[in-house]
Amino acid sequence: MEIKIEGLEAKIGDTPILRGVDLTMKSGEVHALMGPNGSGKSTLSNVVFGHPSYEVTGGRVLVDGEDILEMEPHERARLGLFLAFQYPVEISGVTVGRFLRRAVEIRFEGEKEVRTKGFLKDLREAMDFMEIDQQFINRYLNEGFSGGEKKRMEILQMLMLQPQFSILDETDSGLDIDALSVVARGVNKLRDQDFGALIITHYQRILDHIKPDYVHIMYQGRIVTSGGGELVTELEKSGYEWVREQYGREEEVHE
Amino acid sequence: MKNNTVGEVFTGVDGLGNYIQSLPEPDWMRETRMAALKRFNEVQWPDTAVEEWRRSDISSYDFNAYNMRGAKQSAVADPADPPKDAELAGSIRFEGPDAVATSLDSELAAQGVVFEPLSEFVLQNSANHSGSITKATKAVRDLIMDSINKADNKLKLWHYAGWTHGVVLYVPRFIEIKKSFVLDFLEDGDAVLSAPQIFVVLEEGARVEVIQRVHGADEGEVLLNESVDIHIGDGAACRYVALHNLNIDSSSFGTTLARIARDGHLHHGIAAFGSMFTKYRVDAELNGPGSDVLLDGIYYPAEDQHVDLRTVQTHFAPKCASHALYRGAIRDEAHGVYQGLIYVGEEGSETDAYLTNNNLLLNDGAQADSIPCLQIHTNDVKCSHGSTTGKLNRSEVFYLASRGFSPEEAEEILLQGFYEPIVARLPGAVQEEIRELIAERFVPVQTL
Repeated sequence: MEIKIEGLEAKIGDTPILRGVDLTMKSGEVHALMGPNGSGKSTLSNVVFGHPSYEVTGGRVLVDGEDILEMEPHERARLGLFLAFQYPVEISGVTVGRFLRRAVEIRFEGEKEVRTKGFLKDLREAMDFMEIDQQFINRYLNEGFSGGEKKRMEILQMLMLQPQFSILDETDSGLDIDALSVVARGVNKLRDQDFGALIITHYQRILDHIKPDYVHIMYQGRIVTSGGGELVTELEKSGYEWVREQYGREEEVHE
Repeated sequence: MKNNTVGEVFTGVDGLGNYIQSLPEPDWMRETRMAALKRFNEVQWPDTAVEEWRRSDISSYDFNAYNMRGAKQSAVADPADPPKDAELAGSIRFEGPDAVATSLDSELAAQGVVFEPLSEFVLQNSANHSGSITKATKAVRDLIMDSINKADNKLKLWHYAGWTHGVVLYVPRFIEIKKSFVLDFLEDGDAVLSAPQIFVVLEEGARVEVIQRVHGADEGEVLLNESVDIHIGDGAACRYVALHNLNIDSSSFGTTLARIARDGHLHHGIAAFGSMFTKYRVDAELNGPGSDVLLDGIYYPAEDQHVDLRTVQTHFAPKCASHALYRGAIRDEAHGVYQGLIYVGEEGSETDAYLTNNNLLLNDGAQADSIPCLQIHTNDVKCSHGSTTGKLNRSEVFYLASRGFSPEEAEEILLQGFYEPIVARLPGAVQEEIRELIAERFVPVQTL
């Protein structure tokens, strides 16, 4: 799968957030998207998935050549895209088991028989791998979960749904080092030619566990520079201050 | 067996006295009807000046327009028949006021459990009968008189004067019954008054589960005016779930009053789906220390439906717990009303009580009123209430969409999920039925 974002502009209310994002990613690649708070990283993930709060004002998002911006969110998901939420919502009254069984059915509709037959076995294995207690199968999705449990649940869903490309929106935020390594283990497990990921993060910490092939830095609604792992090292050393100095546009800075 | 005057029909209110006289009932029952009739004649129909009826205006009803007749005695199947469904402790099925099938597990019958149509039970009282029947008769009479004395509105008194059919379930001391009793009411006919009366009497340590299903024919206007009286003895436990699904031309009035003695338990549930107009009240009286009560309610009014449900948790003894959870999703032009009262008397120290009401308004025309109320006359209590009224959460829909769920399916899952914490703790036998009724009524928000 190839995702090609071209000149993407979006606003929430009257406030422009994305001001022309260009980014090309493929299955088989792991990209990191870094940047200071408020630079538009999470907006990018929401806009790619069609969150109704954002209005796209320009540009295209092509998935294997097809513009997905006119598609409904669920249609985008069914292409094989996955979004691990920064703040997963609680779905009361819907158990993890029931929710995932149906999600797997939808994802693998053509091969339903095969996939749903071994569903519970697969789920249990994936839960073991993510160090999630099996009792969570019968709990309501995310209801009463700790922050770390919610993030692990996102990755568990990703393992079960096997997307071709996944956007992880600040999955590392609020995680202690143990939880972080479990989350990273989940991502690394899927890592192969048929899986790509965009890891959105404020910190370099998660990138010690998931080595990105490409690193992009976002600032004021644009990707201002891209490179390899050396960018992470640079950020670690100097913080985001040099990004502001080098790429900040005075006229667009608003408080 | 004597037959009553099958086929003779009486009009709802004016014919009440003649109706009572026509019934071949023994004096003790007729006296209760006459006592109710006397008070009935003394009080006015509830109007919107009364807080409990403020949002449910019944002034447009012509209660004389509904006809009633008593149950046929001859239609009753032989109670000695073994249950058709071995999974059930017993079942009774009514078509209109007539019991067309009845069964009771023979072992339970041998243990003194009484389970039969009320009109038959009342008639048998004049014949020879066992100790259980005598105790049951006394309990039934006491419950009726207690309810008449406490009745604070004319509809309830109308019911006790003119009940048309019903059920008695009496469980002797320490008989614990794991299987369910099922009461099926199929309401049929047009401009018909149906006034079923159900008694559940549990002696000390008894345990029982009752499922009541009220269904209507597709057409015909039925006026339901039911009453359920429950007595839960020391340490006894009762689960009672009522599923109401009359057609949209019908109206449902009713009350359930449960009296719970020391260390007794009640789990009551009501799922109100049908009827254009519903006004139902569930009273739980915690009369003995250590007793506890759980009151569950589900409603899902649509179109022009009006559903007004009230719960009353009355603490007359110390160290009791009571919780009420009522949830309703409301769409179209429908109106949902929930009124909840926690009353703690002077004797109710160390009470633990709360009530919660959650409403989902599925579109702009839908309306919800939530009126919780606490009246506390002692210190050292833990009482609270919470109510929420909101819309379907778009963030949750988006989350599910990001996993491939269509908006329609996402909304249906969220709606089922809204009710699920209640549904999942009701008896297994009704869970699927309730989920299916919710699914049948579901309409995606975009199309509203």
